[in-house]
Amino acid sequence: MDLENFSDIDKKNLPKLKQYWEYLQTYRAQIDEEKLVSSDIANIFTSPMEPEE
Amino acid sequence: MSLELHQLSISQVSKLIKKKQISPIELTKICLDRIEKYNPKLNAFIAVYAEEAMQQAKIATRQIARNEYKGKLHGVPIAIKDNIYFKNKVTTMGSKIHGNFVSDFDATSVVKLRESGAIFLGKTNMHEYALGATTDNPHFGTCRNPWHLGKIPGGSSGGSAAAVSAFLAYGALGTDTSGSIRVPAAACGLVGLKATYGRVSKYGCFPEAWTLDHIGPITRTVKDSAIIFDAISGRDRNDPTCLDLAGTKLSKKIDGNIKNLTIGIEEEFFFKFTDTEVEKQVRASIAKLKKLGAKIKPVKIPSLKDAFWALTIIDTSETTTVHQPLMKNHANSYGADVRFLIECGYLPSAVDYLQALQLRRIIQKEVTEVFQSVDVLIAPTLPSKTPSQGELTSIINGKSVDTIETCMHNVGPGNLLGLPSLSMPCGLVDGIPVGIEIIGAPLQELKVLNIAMGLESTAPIGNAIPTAYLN
Repeated sequence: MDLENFSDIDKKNLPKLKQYWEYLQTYRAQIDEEKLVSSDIANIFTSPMEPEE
Repeated sequence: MSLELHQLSISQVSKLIKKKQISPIELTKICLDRIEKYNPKLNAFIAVYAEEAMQQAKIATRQIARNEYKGKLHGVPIAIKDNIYFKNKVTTMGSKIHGNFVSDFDATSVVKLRESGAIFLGKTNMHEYALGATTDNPHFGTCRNPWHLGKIPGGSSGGSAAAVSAFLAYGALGTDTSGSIRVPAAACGLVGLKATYGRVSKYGCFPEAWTLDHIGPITRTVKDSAIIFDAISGRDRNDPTCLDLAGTKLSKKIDGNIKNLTIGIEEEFFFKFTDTEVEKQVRASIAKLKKLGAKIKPVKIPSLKDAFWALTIIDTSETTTVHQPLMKNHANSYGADVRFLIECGYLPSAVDYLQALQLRRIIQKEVTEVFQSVDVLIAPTLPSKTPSQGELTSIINGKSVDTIETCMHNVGPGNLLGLPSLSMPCGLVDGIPVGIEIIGAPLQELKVLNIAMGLESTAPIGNAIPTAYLN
């Protein structure tokens, strides 16, 4: 993303934002994308178990 | 050791109120006097409703004298985090931008507490817009930890935790999107309960990230958390994410009996990178629970390795969506750390966000399978010792780690998956409490509370109370 064209972003934060995004990519790199393709994307909060009471 | 009146739990004072051995007027005056004396040092409150609280206390005292007792919260003074709306009162969200915002309605949780007869002492300090774990607020001042003024009280509900910990209120409401009830509870030696997503209405609470947000109690005992949870839980047509279930009555059901309950231990995610002294306290508590009759079972949830990424992407994307209109005109009015965090939400693409939702589903499937064979999971609430104020990095076993990431690591999955999750004190390290986290399957708050009550019966921190704020 071209953050420099984002008017809401404080330009002073750009290096820190890039550093942060690069750091997050270390987590991103561990994700098995094959698994994601085969997963469904249904809402996770559709069928809670019945309460105990 | 006999406790002074301000040190009693909600459960204890409610009995005295019911028997008319103490009046709500006396209790409210005790709290207001303590707020006046100690809040300048702690900065736990943003606003104190002294006049209104005394007025409410007089009404409650008269009702109880007429035998119109409403229940365990009737006449009990409590505090509310300042991102939960009060009708005709300023709700700041801990911000300059909303510094003069007056809601024309009460949040549903406030309505329910009002109906239960609770007395509102005021609104508590918080990390600006609930976007941080330190409650170092540039607009309302730094909130201090009553156990050690140089340590963070946790966040974002740090003011609620500091107020309850220093006996300025008998209980408080906090909110939790990535641990903001449980982290302060752990840092301040308290019980913090984030129930199943949708158990408590969020109507009238300023959103942070709408698929992760929760409201819940911060209290001094497990039973007190159940009492407040009972009062605020239940369906609400105003909140489309609220579950269509009746309010709970768990405070009457919990007994601390944990025989035959199975505790799952996930070493790889929850324990591998934990401060040695913190780990020692948590493992000692697990041993105590085993002695009380619980079974311990090692489990594996490999997909949890992706939880931090998924939570961060979802949290920042939703947060920035909420703040987008404010960023247009008020970007310079945010504190520097919060503005940066909101800017982080511009980074993920739509694909990142949707993949994070897919990951959430994958992790949920694995965790659901694990809950077929265990009743709860147990972990350290914070993998590190309580960080010091202004500390951007924390040290775990000699290694430097990011403080915010550390605070979020073990509590985050509870938000990502909407699971009931409670933090309670399990020991002291350097005289400061350490928190243990108990995570249950959806809607299994009773099991979570029973395990917590079982552990509480072993007096994990003995009679220790915070004293750092007294001088």
